[in-house]
Amino acid sequence: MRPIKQLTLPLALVLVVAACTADNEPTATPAQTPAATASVSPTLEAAATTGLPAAGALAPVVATDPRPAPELVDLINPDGSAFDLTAYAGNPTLLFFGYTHCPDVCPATIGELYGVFEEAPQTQAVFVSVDPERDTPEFLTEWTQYMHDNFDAVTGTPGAIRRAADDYGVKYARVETTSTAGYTMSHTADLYLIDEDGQLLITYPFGTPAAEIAADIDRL
Amino acid sequence: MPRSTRMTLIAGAAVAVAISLALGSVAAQDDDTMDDSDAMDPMEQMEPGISVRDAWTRESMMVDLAGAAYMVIHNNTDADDALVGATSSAANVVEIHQSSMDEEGAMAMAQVQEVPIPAHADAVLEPGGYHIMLIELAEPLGQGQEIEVTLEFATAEPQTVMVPVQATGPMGDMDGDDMDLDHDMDEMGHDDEDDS
Repeated sequence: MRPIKQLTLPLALVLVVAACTADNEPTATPAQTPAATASVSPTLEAAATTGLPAAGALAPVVATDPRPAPELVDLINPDGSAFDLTAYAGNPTLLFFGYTHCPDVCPATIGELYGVFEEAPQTQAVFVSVDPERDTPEFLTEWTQYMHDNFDAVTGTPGAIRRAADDYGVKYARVETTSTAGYTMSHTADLYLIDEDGQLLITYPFGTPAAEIAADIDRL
Repeated sequence: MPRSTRMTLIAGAAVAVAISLALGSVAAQDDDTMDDSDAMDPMEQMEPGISVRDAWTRESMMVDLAGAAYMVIHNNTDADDALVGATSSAANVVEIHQSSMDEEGAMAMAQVQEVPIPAHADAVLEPGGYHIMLIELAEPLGQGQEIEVTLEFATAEPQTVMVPVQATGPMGDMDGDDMDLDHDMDEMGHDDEDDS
């Protein structure tokens, strides 16, 4: 694998971000449940041990010491079978967390994924739902019916999803609203690039264009 | 809805837009000062009052999932205005929402009562920001279709805009020029990968 260019700036970013997040305990927003607040510490701890850049970085962050992407333990495919991230080895895989009832952010990410599929057709995508109440296996079966062949969705028990999110430094919480559409989920909307060997390489912030991601994949 | 009804709606909307534009240009002639500073923005010279451009929405095959419509709204008047609501034949309920990033880097969305449109400025509705949320779709939105959205403003008269439905794809390529997006979303299903 060719070395990824321009490691100096991302390295500085990772160090700065790691230093900032190690010292500052983020205050919980009113929308967060106590469970979400309690996950902050293990999230940071997980980030430190996996070498993951903290969520919400404004630029793609390249892992300086790539490690195996955290396994998504106890999650299930829409057909009920156990999800196995290692089965994606051999293909570059883009992973992100979201929910099907997300009308804006998740469709935007999916749009970029479709662009990546065009440019790098060997790429697979995995969507992990943070909303198992609505994103049941049955619902995901129908939802993915309309999706690109390379796009997979997984769900699980609330506990399994929380553990998986913690492993990736993903924060999420249920937000009650007065909207006709019902409750929403706030969630880290980063996109994680896992290479053919199962190494977590890059964390892309929400909004990263498909062309940039595809270029990184082509360089793998 | 039947094709004939939709065509009637589209024709009616086109007439309504034409009439409102004509009325708008007549009404604004006294208010709109076309001094030299306005000459820098070609949009300002063309469209008096409130104008809308670059409207689009995404295809959606499941009517229970809310859609989002985006656009740029230009206020060519001397007074601030605001988008305060919308209706659409394509959805039972239409709300205005705004996505934003919280202090932990998570994206959240909240319903808002209005989108400010300052005088001689744009209000941009785009992914990750303001959007018009289409709730309980009347029917699936297929690429190539157009839906009708009537915008309501604090000051200006309502405007009906036709919003084209785009295929799922990257933002950098809404016209389908740069990337070869030849997947056919008219196919309602696909052969699922072999799980055995």
